[in-house]
Amino acid sequence: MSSNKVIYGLFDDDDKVLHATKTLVSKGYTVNEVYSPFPVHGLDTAMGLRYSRMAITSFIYGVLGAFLITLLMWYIMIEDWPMVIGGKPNFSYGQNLPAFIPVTFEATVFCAAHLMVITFLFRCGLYPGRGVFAGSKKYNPDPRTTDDKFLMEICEEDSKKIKKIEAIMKETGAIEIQIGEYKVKKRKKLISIKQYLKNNLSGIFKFLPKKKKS
Amino acid sequence: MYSITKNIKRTSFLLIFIGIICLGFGFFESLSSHVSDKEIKYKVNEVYKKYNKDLNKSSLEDSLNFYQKLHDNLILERDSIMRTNFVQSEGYTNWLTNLTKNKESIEIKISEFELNNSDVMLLIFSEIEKDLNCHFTSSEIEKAKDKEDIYVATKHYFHAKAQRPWSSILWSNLFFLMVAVAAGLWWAIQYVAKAGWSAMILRVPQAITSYIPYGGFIMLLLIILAGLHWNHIYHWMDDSLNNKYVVESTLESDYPVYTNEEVYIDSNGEELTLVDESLINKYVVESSLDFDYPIYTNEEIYIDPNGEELKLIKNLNYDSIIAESSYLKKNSDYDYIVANKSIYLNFPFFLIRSIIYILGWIWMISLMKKYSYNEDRLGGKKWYQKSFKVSVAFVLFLGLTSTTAAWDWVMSIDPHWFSTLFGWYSLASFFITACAFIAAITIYLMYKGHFQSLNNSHMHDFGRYLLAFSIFWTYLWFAQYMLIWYANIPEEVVYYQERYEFYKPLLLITLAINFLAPFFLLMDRSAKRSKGTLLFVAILIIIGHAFDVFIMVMPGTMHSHWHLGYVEIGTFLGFLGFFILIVFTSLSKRQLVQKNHPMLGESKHHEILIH
Repeated sequence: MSSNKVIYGLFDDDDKVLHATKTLVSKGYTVNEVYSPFPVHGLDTAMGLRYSRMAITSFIYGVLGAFLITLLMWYIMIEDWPMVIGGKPNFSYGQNLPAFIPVTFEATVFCAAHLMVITFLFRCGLYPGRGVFAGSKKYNPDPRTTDDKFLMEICEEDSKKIKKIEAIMKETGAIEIQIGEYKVKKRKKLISIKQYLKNNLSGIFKFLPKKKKS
Repeated sequence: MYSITKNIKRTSFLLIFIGIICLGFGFFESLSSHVSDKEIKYKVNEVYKKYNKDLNKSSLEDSLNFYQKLHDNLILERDSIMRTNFVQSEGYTNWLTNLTKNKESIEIKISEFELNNSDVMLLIFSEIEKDLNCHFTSSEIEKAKDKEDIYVATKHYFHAKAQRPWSSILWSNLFFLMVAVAAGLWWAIQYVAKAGWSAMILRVPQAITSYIPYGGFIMLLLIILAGLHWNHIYHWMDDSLNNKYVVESTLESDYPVYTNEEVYIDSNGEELTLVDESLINKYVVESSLDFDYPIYTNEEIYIDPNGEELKLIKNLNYDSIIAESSYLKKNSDYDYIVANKSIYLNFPFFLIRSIIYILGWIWMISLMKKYSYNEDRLGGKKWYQKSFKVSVAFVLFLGLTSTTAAWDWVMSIDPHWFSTLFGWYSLASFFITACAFIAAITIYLMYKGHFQSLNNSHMHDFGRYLLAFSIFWTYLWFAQYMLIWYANIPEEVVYYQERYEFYKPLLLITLAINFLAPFFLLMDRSAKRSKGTLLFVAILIIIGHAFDVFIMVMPGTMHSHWHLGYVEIGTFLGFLGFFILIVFTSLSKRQLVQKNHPMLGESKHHEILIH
């Protein structure tokens, strides 16, 4: 949260907002957020958003689902109460593997899909109770963006730069511009995953005792 | 405009040369070392007689002597005890323990005698292996119990050996023919789905389909030669399986005359009828006389399936006049499962079906080709709409014919077995291979500097095709396998039993290459978008599915006597060279990009932006 000045530019066309984003980013400004009623092709790359890590969570959830269901089936069918079905050996998971594969597959897909959707909703801040309590942040600055308008959000402190941004926005076809102090979640500076891991891992390693040279 | 390079020409001619040499050697080997059924029968009889006389008798004598000695000793001991007349003494208990000990040793001796019997089998097998230069698997030797089993095992070996070059031709040609057809399906799907992204590279599947006439011709040749009994890939074409009766006088000749009628008129105009067994057999099994169907035989010794010798008496109904004349006899090779399928699986219908498939495919593909060339020449949306219509017809036609072609050309190699999923399964296998070929050839051309406007997003689409269809293939493979495994019905399970017993390493390698490798290598988005990874996976998939088709074809023709030696690999390489030559010649005939395709602009600016 930062409480510096925020510029809101309202657009009425997705091509215009895309063009505005491209020109602003090419001139060195950071577009903090764009609110739009539908996904605009190319907007995320124009804004310089990092490639979504949703696929990684999906893989982890899938593995988790497969593991849990394997544990469940192994306990029910082999360990706790072995059952003879169709004359198949009832004491081994491996020899009965074909029978367990459909369930494993379904559980994997179930866990991956459901948990991924829940993760997605949480990451977008779409959970019940958000914004209800007094003093909590307003997460959609303009309700018109749920209908047919597009809203661009830029955080800037320097008043000279603010004027320049305003000019560019007007040039590229903004129909309404607001400047004020709002509480806004500022997007972190773009770093690669490698860099991110490096920064975090080095932090972890600081706690480890250093090797003494003997 | 692409023109075929010298390197490709040289490589493909080299591969064709290797293929011809290997195939020639394969034919030479199988023909030169072929032993006819009669010779096998004679040899097995000879060896069996020799060993049974020597070994069985001597070991039997040994054990009888041993019995005699044991018996004598026991009698002596008992007499000495009786002489002391002291029944409850220590001597008596000693004698009892001795008796039990001796009993055990007798039992051991008896089991040794039985072991000797299987040793005899081993000796007979090794002698036949040495004399006829053949090889048996350990399970065949273990399962063999009598002369008939040895004869059948030896016969199977030589029949399999004769099929080796033929079945490698079938494997390679079927693989490339069906890949070409599946590439046609890929091409048609682009039109049916009105896909824009692929408009630039449609000449690649089009070039692959130009293999269909050549592959179809070789396939038809193979089928006609099978009908002429040059090869026995399709076992059900054998007359002896489909006919209930056989003319007795021709039974010993090379070409016995089979018939399904109870009355047969031979070339001399004589009427041959089915004769009751009681009139033509000299002997009858005494214990079976009270049964509804007594067992008759012409041999002087009758051994029943359990290995017991049954007592024979003279058959009083025997009529020497009838027995010496010509008559019909029940065919012992008659296979009612195959015979019941003869409405569908008979040679004329089979040939007609094959011709319909191949001509239908060639006709529709040639129409599509014509329209695409006309589009290049004349321009206009008319040709695109025409191509769309033909594509819909081709997809529908292939939906039917790919299933029946898979039944005819692949599933009927194992005529006893059937699977309703087989058509889909094999189509999935060929379709993923076609995707891999299209991706590999496109990427190769990109490395050579063509298709400049193709970008990462096109690669992403290729990657999706490969990943999705390798999972689809695995899904169908598993769906077929699991139901058969679970139901465990003998007539179905025999298919996987044979594959699991003799082809296990290949089966597991196939699953690993065709499912695990693409699944884990292409799961990541960036891997799907890189040319190098995609080319590597495409080549892996091509190799893996070649093995998959190998496992479809070989167990039915070669059984346990399969090889992956110079004949198979050489033939495959030869066909690969032929395929490459045809595809690249076809590519260099016309422009590489269909310049008037209405979707060309969309294809050039194709970009997958949704993350």
